[in-house]
Amino acid sequence: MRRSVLVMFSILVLVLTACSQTSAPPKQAAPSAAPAPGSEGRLVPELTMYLPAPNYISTQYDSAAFIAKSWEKLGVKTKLVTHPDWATFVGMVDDRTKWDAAVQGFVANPSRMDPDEFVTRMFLSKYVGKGGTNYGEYKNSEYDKIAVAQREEMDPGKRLALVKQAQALIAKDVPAISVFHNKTISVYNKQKFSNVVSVPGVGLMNIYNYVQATPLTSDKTLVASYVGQMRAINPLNAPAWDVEQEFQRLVYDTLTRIGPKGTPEPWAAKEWKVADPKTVTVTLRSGMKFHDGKPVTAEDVAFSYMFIKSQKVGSYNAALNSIESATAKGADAVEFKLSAAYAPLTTVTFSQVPILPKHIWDGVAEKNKLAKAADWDNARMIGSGPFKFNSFKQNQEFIIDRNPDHWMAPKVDRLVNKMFTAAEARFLAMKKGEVHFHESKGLPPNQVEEAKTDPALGIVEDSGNDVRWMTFNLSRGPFQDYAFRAAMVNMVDYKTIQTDILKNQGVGGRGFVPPGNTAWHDTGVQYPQMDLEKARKILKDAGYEWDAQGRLLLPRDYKPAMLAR
Amino acid sequence: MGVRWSYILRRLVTNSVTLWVVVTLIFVLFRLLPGDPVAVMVDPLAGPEAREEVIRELGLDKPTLVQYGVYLRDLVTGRLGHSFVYRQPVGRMVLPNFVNTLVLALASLLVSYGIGTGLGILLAWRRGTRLDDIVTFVTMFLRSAPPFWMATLAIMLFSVRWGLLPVSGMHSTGFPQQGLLAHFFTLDFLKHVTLPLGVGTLYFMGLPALLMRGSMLEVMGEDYVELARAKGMSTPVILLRHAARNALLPVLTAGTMFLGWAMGGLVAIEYIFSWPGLGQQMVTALGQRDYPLAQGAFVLTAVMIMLLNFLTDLLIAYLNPKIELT
Repeated sequence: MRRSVLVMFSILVLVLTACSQTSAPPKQAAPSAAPAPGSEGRLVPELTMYLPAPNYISTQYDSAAFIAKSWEKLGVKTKLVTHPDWATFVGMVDDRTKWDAAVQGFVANPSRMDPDEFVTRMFLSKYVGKGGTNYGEYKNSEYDKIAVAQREEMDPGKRLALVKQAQALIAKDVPAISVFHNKTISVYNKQKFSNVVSVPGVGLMNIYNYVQATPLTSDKTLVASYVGQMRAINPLNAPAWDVEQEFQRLVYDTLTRIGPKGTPEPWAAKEWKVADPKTVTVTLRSGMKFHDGKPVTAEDVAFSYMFIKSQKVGSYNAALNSIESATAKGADAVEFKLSAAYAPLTTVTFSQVPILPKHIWDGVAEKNKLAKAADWDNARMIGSGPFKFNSFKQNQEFIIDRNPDHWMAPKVDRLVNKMFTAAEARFLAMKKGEVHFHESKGLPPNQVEEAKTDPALGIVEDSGNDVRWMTFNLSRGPFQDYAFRAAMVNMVDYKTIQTDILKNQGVGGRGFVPPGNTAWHDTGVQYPQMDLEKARKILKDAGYEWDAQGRLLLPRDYKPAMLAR
Repeated sequence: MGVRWSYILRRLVTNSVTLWVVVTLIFVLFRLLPGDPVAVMVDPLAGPEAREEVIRELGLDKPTLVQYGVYLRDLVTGRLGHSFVYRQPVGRMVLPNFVNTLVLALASLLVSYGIGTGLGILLAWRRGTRLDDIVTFVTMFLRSAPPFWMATLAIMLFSVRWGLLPVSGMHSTGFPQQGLLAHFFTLDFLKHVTLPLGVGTLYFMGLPALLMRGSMLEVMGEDYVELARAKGMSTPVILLRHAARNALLPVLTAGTMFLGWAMGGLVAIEYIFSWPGLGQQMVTALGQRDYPLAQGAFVLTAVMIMLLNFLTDLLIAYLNPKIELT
């Protein structure tokens, strides 16, 4: 019996091998002819594209690989280089001497509903350099002027005009292109909770949802889970916008919050006024109390801003950089003086900085004999938010209870952030009903499909607010030449990417202010579309040629820098 | 009793040297890893000054040799350093996880070796039959199946579909932190440990089962077994009272090495079940390039393995008069 099994198995293996050989595509004829006269040395070298591994976000890999394939029609070959470990990949991209195109993305989050980050991060010339975010080394003084001006323009109408100019300029210069914008998909248990509220950029993972979600059963505990680990309950020890900050801001109040429209809503601040471009006055809501009973005063707010700034906390540095002073004016007004006008102050900074109780945090490092305040364990986590701290088991669970004295007291009794290491276990817990709110920026399509068929689960989609981009290296190689770039970006088939690769779980790239950000996105800008004829014409007009095998050749008067490796 | 003081002393010295080599290797390997720990920690928009600040704070600006010196000095005084990411002393963070992993590892060892040995005896008794074929095949299959796949499958069936057991973790949400006894000797803990333990058992029992089977077959060919049979003893009595005891030795030896071999599988199981153990801590620390935490976890694992090996060597020598440790 065993011998026959072995024989059958061997036959199966042979059959499968034979099948795979016959269905393989015919091998390309190796270029064997001699190079066309005058073309020696002008051959456009094989491009190197760095992109995140398929295990990270598979659609990002697939779309970039698809674009590289389209480029072959112009006679350009591209080598795809990836790495499954994220930290390693980031280090690789930082070395600008090794790649021609790099692919990454910015996930959506509430502070990115203000266009400042997208407009400046990749394109301001001052961000060029090791560790800087201007990966492609785009240096355009005209762009710099516009980008800096929008950051300092406190009038929203004028600022919008500047942001539109910035978008148009990038669309023209194409130092980088956006490839697609994902939808953010949140899944929740609709049999147990109703009244869910979605906020652009985070879906259901926002404070409005947590305070308004209404339990439908006798179980009044809301269990949420995200990708990411919560490591500390000390607000000074949190990376820029991550799970931790969002949960910390349930216990600590902020002056404003980004609301369901994607714009800042009053929260601890009743109103704010821009007296002059460098002075902003904020009036606080009255009657606010910390969880230990002491009142929240303007002193606490002023203290919080200056204290966090003095601690040089990495995640708040950019936001607090331009604040010169914060002074309490009376019991409920705070005056901010800026060293330079800073438009994102009211849209981003006010929604990020937690209001700390001065009577606890003033001198906390000295009192506890610590090097920095960020090292303090903050065991009682006293804030003034709609939730009170209950317990924290590092990397396991974070539990907070309803604060009945808050003006936006939640409808649930308790909220739990349950942490998992494995995404599969998180989703299974969702199906079992142990987790009620689950969001993952990279939720695999099969889990989305499964969630759709489950009667207990509801899905909330947030239109594309993230940007998955491809940037070109302008410090070396053929992408330095504008004509080359212009031609290559006319070979991106956005339609196919959207329908076949994204399966309509997002839209094709529309620049660096995502289309979901309706307040700032310029719908009037034309982005290059798939047009082989146009691409060829651009190249021909610039002096490029093709050899007998269809490979692209640089113009006869090419600069040596174009071939620098 | 076959243990001499000179042996113990020599073992301590060799173990210390091994530990130093391991500790150095760990230090070097982590530094060789591509990927900048600071990049993972600092928001690039914060500007180069924030980056410099963090580098200085963590002592990464000092030459590697100095960092190594600091690392060794801390280790000798019992300090495992300060976590980059969590800003807490590593020792305090690693200890509870270490206990959790130890509990899971020891439980897996006992149950999988217990069941595996019993299975081995059964298979030796029924050697050549259909039962032997089937069970051997199933055991080898379970040993080759990736533990994270089995774990996910187990959760799907026992937790989601049949609702019998929790999905993950060591305790239910909101379970109060109490003393050691209350931590582990509760129904809540038992419910949570069942699936990880079950998957671990299925995965690890292959080795003792097949080892015991082979060992039994060898022993059963010995003269004294013939004699026992001639004396008219029944097979079960022969198997258990005479053969099994002697056949157990190779399995016991394998059992002492269990911890070292099982770490890989345990890490996968801890990962899927979000079991708050050393394996899970190592994996997350690695991904975040938290050098001190990952180093601390590795060093603790190495110490644990060496200590257990040493203790079991002593134990076996104590039990078996034929062994002389020199």
